[in-house]
Amino acid sequence: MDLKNLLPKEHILLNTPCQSRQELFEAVTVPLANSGIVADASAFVTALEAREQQVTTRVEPGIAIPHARSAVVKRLGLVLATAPEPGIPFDPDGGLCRLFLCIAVPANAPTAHLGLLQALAEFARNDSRVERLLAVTMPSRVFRVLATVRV
Amino acid sequence: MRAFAQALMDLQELEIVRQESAIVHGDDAATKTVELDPEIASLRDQVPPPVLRRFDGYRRQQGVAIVREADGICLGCHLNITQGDLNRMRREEMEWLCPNCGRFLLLSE
Repeated sequence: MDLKNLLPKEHILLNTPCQSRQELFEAVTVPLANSGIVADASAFVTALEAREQQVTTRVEPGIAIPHARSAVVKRLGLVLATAPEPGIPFDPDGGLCRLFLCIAVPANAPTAHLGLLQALAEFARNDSRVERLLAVTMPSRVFRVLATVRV
Repeated sequence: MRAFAQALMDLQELEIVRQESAIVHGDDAATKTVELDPEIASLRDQVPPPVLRRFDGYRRQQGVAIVREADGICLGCHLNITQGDLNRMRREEMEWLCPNCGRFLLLSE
């Protein structure tokens, strides 16, 4: 799986001005809908929220990998979003997050994303690489930082 | 049969959530997913043990044990299921299994 195919420049949202988790979910769903990956944006936002209610996808420190399976997802999709300091309140524990790696998973291939999730979770545990990613100001530079991610 | 199939579908979903949490949360996953355990146990209780054994086997080997059927197509392997087989499944004369890939099927309404 090539990360560049999965993450076109339009799927990279740097310093998104969202104030809440709901706003963030709506923002990351827009490029997925525009790419035809998500057929019904509202249904996918609901699916992301429902998945979050089951078990949080927040990873320490300040990173979340929200993902959801849904019949409205036509193929595997990924959106990367960053938020300016101090971050967005992501779960009831009060954790603020600045980096979001949102995965859209087709309901008919419910485990198709597990390899990608594993690779992104490993990336998220590397503080120096995350810091470099958060400092990026141009989408084209994101791939340099993500070059080490092997899916 | 539909009730078993729906229970298996719900069970698969919760088990995948637990897998995801193990990846995302590492050592903390068991604490994070503890609230799912009673629901998983309750779903497993609703399914006969031989069905559950086969379900667990598919989950171990293929990751996905149950898939939906739509318009006569298994949405796991994307191959056709004959109308005769679908009719027999609906009449409960045949197990709800894809004749091609062998996974459990949740038939469309």
